[in-house]
Amino acid sequence: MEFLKDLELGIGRHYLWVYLGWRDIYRRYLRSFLGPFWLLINSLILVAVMGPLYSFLFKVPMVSYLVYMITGMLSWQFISQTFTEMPNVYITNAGYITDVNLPFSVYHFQMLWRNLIIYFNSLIIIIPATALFGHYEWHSILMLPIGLALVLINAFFISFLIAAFGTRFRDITPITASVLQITFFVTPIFWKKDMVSKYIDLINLNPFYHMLEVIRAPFLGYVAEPISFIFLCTTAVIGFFLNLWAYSYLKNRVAYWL
Amino acid sequence: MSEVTLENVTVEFPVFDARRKMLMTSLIKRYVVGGIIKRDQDHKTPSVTALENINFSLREGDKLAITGHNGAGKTTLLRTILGSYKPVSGKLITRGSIISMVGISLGFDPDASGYENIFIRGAIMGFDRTRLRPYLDEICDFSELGSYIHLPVRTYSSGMSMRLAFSIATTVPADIVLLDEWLSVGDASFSQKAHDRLEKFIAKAKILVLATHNKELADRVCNHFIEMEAGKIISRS
Repeated sequence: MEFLKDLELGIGRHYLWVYLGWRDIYRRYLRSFLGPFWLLINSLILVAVMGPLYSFLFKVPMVSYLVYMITGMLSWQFISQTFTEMPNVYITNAGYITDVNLPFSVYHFQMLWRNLIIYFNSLIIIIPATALFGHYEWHSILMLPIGLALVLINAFFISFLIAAFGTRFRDITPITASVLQITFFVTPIFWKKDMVSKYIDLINLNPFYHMLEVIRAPFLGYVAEPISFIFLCTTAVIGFFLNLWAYSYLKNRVAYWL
Repeated sequence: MSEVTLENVTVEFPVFDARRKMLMTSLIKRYVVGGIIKRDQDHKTPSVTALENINFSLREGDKLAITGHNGAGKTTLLRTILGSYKPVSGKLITRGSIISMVGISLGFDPDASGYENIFIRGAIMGFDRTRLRPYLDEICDFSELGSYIHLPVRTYSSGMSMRLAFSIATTVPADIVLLDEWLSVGDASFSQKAHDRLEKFIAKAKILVLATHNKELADRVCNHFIEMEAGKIISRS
């Protein structure tokens, strides 16, 4: 129940984390000319170089492949950046934890909000790219808010757990980074799921695939398979109960682990 | 009705050395069979007892001074009352809004203007823009920053930014005030003004807990006294 109380207090402090999230972005890019567009440029260059090469290697039509790759890359960047930051959520807020004692959910909301802003920024590329070269289906684009909500809810619950362990065990940060790096290759981001139709069951076990799918499919003109929604709803429920159970234990120790 | 009550509160800090902080040692301890286990089993994480069986109870009107050497546990005690450190044993009861005057410039953004930073600090202390607005003029006036208030804090001297932080922290009253050393800011003239403001701010609080080395000050401001040594209360009056 303390977890719910923390959530309620954290939501009540929305003005704080909304503001701090914006400030984080502003500060990070204050003096750079292109600001957060640098992230987009990196992905664009990668897609521009790798796109034609892979479409040749995989023998698939180039334009539709480029659209597929750019939506995948930018959506993946949002997910992977969010997970990369999770182990450090409490470490970077050590001063607040000992001297201000804010509800813990504030730090997670701030981290998610910051990454969501960057994601919205990447829509500047995704939307025109898919509008010009892909094909929109209205019913599929309507699923984007639902998919995004599922990803955020899951990330929120996972962040509570990873942040606590990341504070206690400082190896979690590099471990997360390498897991994400490997995940990038085993998740259908630059290759398509139907290229390995034999191993579909294996792909369906990958939670990152489902998170990616529910925010990518809306731009590619189809609705993600029901299994993705079922998977993410299930993990959200599990994540919720895990936190309900572990919250007090972890919260009472995090300050000592800093 | 405000209250701060500690019953047999004990706080211990685990000390993880670099090796223990690594995940591997925990895994090895549990799952790998061999010589390592024995050595590690006897080797429990050492801990430092920062507070041991602390008891006191404060009601409205109580102003408590905590004195003691460095490392006696004064700051830890304040943080425990704030709720940051959960006691490993014993009970802590607090009722009323708490404000900690530790780290009053925490969250200051050097690239934002002084004015913007008032809102940042305000939000951290729990006030949104509408609740903070009535106090704005007073904060700006008191800090004596003049038109500097609209420049980035980066351009301030450290004294100036302390003055701003101080002005913000002492504006909105709270039931319980935790003070780690009397705050003294600014040059001679400002320092006197700040002293008066802090006294007024404390007078509005229902309960004060002041950790200090200055016995003379403690006598003047407080009506309850405890002296700590190595995490224990060694005398009270």
